[in-house]
Amino acid sequence: MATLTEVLGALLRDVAHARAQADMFSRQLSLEYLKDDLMRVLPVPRAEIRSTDVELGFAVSKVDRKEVSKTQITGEVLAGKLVSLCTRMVGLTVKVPGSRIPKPLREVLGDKRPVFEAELSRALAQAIRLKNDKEIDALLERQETQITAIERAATSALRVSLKATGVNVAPVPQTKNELSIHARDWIGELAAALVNALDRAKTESVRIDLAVTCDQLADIPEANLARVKLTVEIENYEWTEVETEDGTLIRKLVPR
Amino acid sequence: MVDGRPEAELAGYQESIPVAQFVDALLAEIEAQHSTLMTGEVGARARLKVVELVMPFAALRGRMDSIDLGEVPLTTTEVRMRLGRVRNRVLVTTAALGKIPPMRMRQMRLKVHFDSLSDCTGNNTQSAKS
Repeated sequence: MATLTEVLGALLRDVAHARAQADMFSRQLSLEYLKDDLMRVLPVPRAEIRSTDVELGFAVSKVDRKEVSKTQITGEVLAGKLVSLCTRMVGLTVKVPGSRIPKPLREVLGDKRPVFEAELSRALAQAIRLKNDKEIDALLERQETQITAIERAATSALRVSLKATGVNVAPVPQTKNELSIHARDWIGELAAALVNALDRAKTESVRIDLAVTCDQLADIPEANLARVKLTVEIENYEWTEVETEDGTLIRKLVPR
Repeated sequence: MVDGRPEAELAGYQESIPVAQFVDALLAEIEAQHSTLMTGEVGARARLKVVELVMPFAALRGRMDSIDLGEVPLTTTEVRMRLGRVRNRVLVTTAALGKIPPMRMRQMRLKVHFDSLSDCTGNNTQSAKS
């Protein structure tokens, strides 16, 4: 059995192969023409396929569906996005006790930044959990309760990480506001990535096996057959030499 | 009863698939092939220009008309929006369709035009009743 992708791929490959074979034949022919005094002045014939239509009958023999675990996919996407929240959070404005001028946390951290970021990532992973479909849907719908819960979790993770790494800073009036903006931006980013990942998983969870050979289709009534009509275009590429920035010559195929 | 469904119904239910999910999967397969070719390096490349699909199906239960999605862009979200109101599950495999009387057979048509992916408006003549 084959999938639609495999069938389409095989057809496209064969169309391109047919053109390549015709070109090989023209090459041999041109050498023959060269050898003959009279033929030498005649143009060498060459078949050009510009576009071709292929119609194929097939039947769906099997549809396999895997269950999509929303919680598992969310966990994976969330883990990948925590770094982004962490990076935003080290830009929060804070104050060092004894100093009057607030500054970004990353400036206060100095050499401790890698250790702090590792600690913050770990704390965020502990604090931000989307345990069930209800919480995931609330995030996707950007419900205020879910946003507030993530803001709180981020605040708590920040406090824990500062304490664990011995960084002594205090919040200033804008810290809370900045954290809220960062959290909301990040939630938007997370929700978009999650929608994509869930869509992709849902699509990939279905495998459609096709029957395409004469033997496979022999006993299937005409009305039960599906049809696919492809219009295929041949695009020609040619080798060109391109000079890179460091002066190296490279050969690459470019569309003609 | 299994999952709240009578056992007699269950066999058909297990063979069926939500129509939107089936179309999504078909489009993803076409898209995968198109994308693969886009990254390939060959002297002459065969590129998909138009793909037209006609698929037989039967609604698992209830009445459902044929579906003509017209010209669809290759973004499954758009197709899902067009099929949004259609919650039906459909039978598509030869084994399942073999048991369906001809009068219940329907057709699904769709056309993907790769040259105008960005401005496909489509002639959505889909009509479906559950």
